[in-house]
Amino acid sequence: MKIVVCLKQVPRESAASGWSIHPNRERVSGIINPYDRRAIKGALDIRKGDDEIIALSMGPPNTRESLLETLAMGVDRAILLSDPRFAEADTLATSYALSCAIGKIGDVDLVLCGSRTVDSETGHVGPQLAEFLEFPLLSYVNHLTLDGRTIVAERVCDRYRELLTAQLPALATYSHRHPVRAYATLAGLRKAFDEDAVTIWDANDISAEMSLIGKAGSPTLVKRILTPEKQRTVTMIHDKRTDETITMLLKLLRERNILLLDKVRARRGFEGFDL
Amino acid sequence: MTGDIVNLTYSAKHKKIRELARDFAEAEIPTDREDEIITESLIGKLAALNFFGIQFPPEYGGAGLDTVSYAICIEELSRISPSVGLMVSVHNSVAAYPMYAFGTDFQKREFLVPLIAGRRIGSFCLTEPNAGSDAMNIETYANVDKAGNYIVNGQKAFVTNGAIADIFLLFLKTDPDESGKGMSVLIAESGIEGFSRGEVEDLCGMRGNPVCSLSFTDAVIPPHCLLGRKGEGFAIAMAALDVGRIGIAAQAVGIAQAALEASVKYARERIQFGKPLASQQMIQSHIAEMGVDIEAARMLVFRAASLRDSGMPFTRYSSMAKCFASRIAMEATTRAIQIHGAYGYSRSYGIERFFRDAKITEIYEGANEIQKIIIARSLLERVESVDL
Amino acid sequence: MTRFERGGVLKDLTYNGIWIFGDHRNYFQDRVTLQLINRARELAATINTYVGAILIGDAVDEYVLEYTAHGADRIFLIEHPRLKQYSSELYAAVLVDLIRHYKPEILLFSGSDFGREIAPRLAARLHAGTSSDCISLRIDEDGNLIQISPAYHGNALAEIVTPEARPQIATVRPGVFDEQKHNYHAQAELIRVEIDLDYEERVAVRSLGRIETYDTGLEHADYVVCVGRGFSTRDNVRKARELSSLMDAELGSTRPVLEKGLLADESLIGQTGKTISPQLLMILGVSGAVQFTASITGSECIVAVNQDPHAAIFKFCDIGIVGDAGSFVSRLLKQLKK
Repeated sequence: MKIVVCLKQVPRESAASGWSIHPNRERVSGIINPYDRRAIKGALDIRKGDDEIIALSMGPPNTRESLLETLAMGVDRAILLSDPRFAEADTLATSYALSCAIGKIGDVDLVLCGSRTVDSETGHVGPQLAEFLEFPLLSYVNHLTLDGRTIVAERVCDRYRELLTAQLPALATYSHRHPVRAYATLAGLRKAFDEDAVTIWDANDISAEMSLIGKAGSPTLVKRILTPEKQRTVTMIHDKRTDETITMLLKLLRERNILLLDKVRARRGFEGFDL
Repeated sequence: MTGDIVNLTYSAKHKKIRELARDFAEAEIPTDREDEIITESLIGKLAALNFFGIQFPPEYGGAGLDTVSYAICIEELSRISPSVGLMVSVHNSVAAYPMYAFGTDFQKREFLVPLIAGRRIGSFCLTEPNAGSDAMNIETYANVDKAGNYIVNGQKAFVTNGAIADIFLLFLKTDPDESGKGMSVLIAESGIEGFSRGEVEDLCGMRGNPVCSLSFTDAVIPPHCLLGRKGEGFAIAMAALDVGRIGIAAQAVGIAQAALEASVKYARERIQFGKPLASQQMIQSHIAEMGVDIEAARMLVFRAASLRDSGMPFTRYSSMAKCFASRIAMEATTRAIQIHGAYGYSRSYGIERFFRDAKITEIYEGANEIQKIIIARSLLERVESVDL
Repeated sequence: MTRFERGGVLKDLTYNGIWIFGDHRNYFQDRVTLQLINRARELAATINTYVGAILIGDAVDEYVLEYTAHGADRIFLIEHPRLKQYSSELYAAVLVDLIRHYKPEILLFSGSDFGREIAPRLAARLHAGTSSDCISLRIDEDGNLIQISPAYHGNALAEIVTPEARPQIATVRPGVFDEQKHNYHAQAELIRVEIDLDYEERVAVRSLGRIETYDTGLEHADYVVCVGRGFSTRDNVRKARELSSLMDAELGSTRPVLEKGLLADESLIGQTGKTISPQLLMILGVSGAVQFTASITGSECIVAVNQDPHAAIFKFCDIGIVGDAGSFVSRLLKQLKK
């Protein structure tokens, strides 16, 4: 059986270097999206006999580092889709490119990924990739079991516990609600970096239609990035560990028609009175 | 490490190794206490990720990584728990490594492989109640019986990992009349008769590591447990400590780094005189000094490790790294307490723990005074750097 | 690739109408459908179009009156026994047919798990664009829908638009819009759509029941006390409970508090939790990332207490107190109990 795990390399949270519409992911240290890590572990848990696990990611050249880490975790092959023509892709164009790559890998039985990424958090790629591949979609999965060609997923969707059943080939996304710890080993990292066996494919390798990748293939456009507006004018109090802070607060609240003290006293059965 | 390019940046591989060690340490090592951190469960998890055989080749079950990677692992583990960093460092560098460098195939199979797998923990037994820096004058000795077995008598003090280890690199005199040349190394196991452990030491810091004394009373150790040749003990000890020092230096860097991070956080939050401490220049001075010291120490570790990885002589540099890093760790952790004020002095805040943990790095694996002798001797012989 | 309609070079002007997917199984929890209908009415007025509610299911006609009373102009009702169980595969197939026939310009979904799964599926099938977790919607001068959602670990907001592709699809965070009051006199056109469900159903969905939760009523509370990482000890939470009890407030929290097991999942305020809009919100020890602050923008008065004067939360509150939250709460309790 061939299992493809799709992953995205995302910036380490503290490494955000300014907010632009298309951040320079090359310069920022990247990690495997934690929810995709769950999918990698899922694939490793499902694998039996000579099942093959292939890690696939679309990104700039330094994505190689995360793909080497997947090899260190036990994945059999790693493929990086990298091409300047993929740049500025929205989730639809990204999903299309991934589907072309999966088509080129050929005879894929199962595609696994995280339900969303920690940086853009749209959760679109899983469902859209399933559409391009025309695979049944099992989303927000907590646990997967395989019985021959039948796949069964336990999941929770909007507080409804559900059991999904489908036939392979299929695509499953792992829930973001319970991130899981899954480490590579030191030996794995050494071997992966020594062998450096990440295959790189560009747009021609996957026979992608140019009008469907990158900016051309992206119906959505980010018009601009805003830092949230300061709608409120703040009154600051520097607390000196005295009751003065409390008196000040109650006064400010009263000015805003929030009669906190009165409300509390009313609840306790006192008559209200002015401060 | 070849070619004309001088590269002082960590490679992608090293970054991933640091990330792994850091993520693991942050997730798996408890930080709410000092004692009882090293459990069977933690040892098992460390073993599964190859932390007990960082540099040994895959044929022995090791990760096959370089010294730079080893230093990174120890630094990251120590940033969360210096006691755990110490266990892993000693196990790798002064317990397992000598068996790899000097052992017979039998010894490697019998002792090294389980050590690398983390099934058994190793330790290095040189120090005695009457012999610290004066290592040549250890009193533990062995006589040989008719069958060729070694009958060992003596005491070992302050054995790191002592209470949880069951493979011991035991340094003793086999020819008690000849000092220096008469030292040999035996690989001892905990199950043997005549062997006993003392109580776990009540130490100022490094309290998560179960350090204790060992006692040998007519303990019988078979002849195939002699490591290297008779009389080669001192040379083996020095070779081991050359590498061990890199680990200790890395440990000191990790401790200092943790102290810096805590100080930065506190300086940002604590308000005095109506503003955060971080806006006060004298606090900024502390932070700057800590930062410079840590960066320099980390680079000295990197240098010593890289030289070893290039196959070049590195003794002077591992001494320098250990000497410098341990000193700046003491300074950084002292500054950290100062920055935190009274809270820094309180046991419940956790800052003074860094300070207590740092102190021993100036003492063990060759006291800094001894390091300076080593460094001076090296410089007096040839003042230039090894690759100039 | 014949399955996919490509967006044309010119925006297709024959698309008309703002549709809201009736997320009826999540109805009582979120009432998001009603919130979206109300916002849609406001948007529809600016582009002179109608608001349609889409009801897919089996025996769901009770919602027709609700949606009418809350502002929908047209209700599209698609009922069939096979549609009783929510299935994104079946519902997506139904919606694609409906969309191809009626050509709505805008399609809004609740940001429920289901909405956030089905919206991108539709977008893929129609080669349309979609955004997720919007906290604001507006129409720009070109008549396009501007979808605003949090980005970059919640530190910024992105304005997203699909200039050409139609329909424009958005999923919206529950609680960011208000519903209109129930209007008993409202009227709407009911369109019953007969559909041949000859779609392939490749994923069988079996329901194992709802997870029982207790509703803390955070979304409807007048006063809320919220505790964050900087206040997440057992002792502090106890103080916070006492305070909220005295104030007759609901107690909410951020994720780090949940992870320590100090409060239940239902108390979570934020992107994956609840959106609140109380009269008074007191925030203790919360730093203020946008995925939290975006969920509290509807609050009338926000009081924030944090040790770090640079904490982002101080840009979001009305009254900011720089100091130790624990000591502050102790003193406040003392004053309130006098």
